[in-house]
Amino acid sequence: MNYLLEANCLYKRYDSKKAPALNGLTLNIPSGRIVGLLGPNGSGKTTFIKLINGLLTPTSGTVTIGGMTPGTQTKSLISYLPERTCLQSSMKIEELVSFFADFYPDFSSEKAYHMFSSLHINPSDKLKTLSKGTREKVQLILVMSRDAQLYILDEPIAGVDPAARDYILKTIISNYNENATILISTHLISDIENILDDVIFIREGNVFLYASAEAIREEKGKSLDAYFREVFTC
Amino acid sequence: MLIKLMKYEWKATWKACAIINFFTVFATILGVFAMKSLQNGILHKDQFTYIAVILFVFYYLSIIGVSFSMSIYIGVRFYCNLYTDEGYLMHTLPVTKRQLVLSKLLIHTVCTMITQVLLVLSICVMMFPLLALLLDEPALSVPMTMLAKSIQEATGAMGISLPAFFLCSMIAAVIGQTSGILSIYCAISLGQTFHRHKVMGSILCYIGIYCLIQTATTILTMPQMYAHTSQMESLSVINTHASAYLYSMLLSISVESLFIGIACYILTLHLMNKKLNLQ
Repeated sequence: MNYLLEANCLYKRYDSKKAPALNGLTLNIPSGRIVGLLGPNGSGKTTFIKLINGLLTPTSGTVTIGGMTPGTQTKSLISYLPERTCLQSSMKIEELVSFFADFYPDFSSEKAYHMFSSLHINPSDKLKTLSKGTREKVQLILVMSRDAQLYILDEPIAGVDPAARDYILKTIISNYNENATILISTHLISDIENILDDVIFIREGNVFLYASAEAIREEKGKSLDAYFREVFTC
Repeated sequence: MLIKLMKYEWKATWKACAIINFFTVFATILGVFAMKSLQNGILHKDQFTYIAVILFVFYYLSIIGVSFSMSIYIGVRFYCNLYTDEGYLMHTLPVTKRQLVLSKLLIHTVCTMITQVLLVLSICVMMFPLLALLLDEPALSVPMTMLAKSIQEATGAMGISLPAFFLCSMIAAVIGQTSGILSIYCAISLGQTFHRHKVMGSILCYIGIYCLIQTATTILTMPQMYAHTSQMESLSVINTHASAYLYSMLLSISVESLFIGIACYILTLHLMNKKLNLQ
């Protein structure tokens, strides 16, 4: 089977005096799935995501996307939403749309403007004049307006109010290509568990569990959120 | 993709560049206005020395400040755009690291050269009223003619073609500026390899690179300087040797800057490709 994302014995250590952030993580993710990357703080979720995007260099091990190591070609396959605002705050939203359209051939300006309109976001506003929540929405809209093969969303709903979370999840579901894979990292499991096909539990830099969401619910007789709390109880 | 990156880099940079250059223009206008006031007798002659010193110090500090501000801005822009939150976007664009660095390098070199050319023009503009004031000549054309004549005589005596020398100096300036910008990039990229205090690490790396460049320049130019001064024992041969000396110094400094620039460029790319750790 050809996997879209393959990680093999991925190991990342930031500080020689501390435990590694990733400790030989190995997993394969196929196309066409919505996968939840779940784990407590410091379990290695964001480190793994950064390694996929080439923002970190692994200490050892490999990660491939569509059979290629992170590089220029893989970056055109991935649409990445970081956990922080990475857009230039001095730019207007319409300038950001042009920026994305210039660099990503699979970006749809029309789709982006449609979503801005439905959220009552004025494209001529500068990013720095918007609230934190609205900035996150702008970033998510830009990321979801691409027709990518792999969407990586790091904490997409963490900074927005519960009402906006529903809109964001709806945006995610209704704007991705069905052959694409979405990898969502979050703590807010109860909000997203209904949209997940598969779940990866990460603990201490390694895969603790990788199974389908339905199988976990059937096997454990509880929701993903409840099972997560049971597994990672302090 | 390089052109697109350059377009966005220019959009992000031109305003800061314009503000810095506006300060040069403002300082120059202020200086010329003050000197014209002196020349027209608006200010008392007794105040001349005092005001002239203040003016000179202010102008000198302005020029240093403008050059320094441009370098600081280039460093901050490179750091913020590639190694802070904005780096999450820039490093995930489907472009190579070489394109990222080159786009910034080309735009920043253009901005720096605009600033440098404006500074030279500003010095020239300031020089003519100052000379007119010292010569007690109301017309600016007199010092201008005098200066042009002096330059012509000096270059003629040394056997230097003025356009050729100007061209060589411009090439040397572009190489020197580009190399300077690359050393800033390199220092910032080296600073990112520090586990903590990355900004402080970058500053320390820059000081280290600067000291290294100064040492290399001294080692490279001192033997030539001694060789030429020993040949200039007789006044009759000063002129012919001065030309050769000027050209050889320009050449050696340019070659050195070129090597340093290439080394910094390769190291910056290597660090970005192999050691990138955005945290």
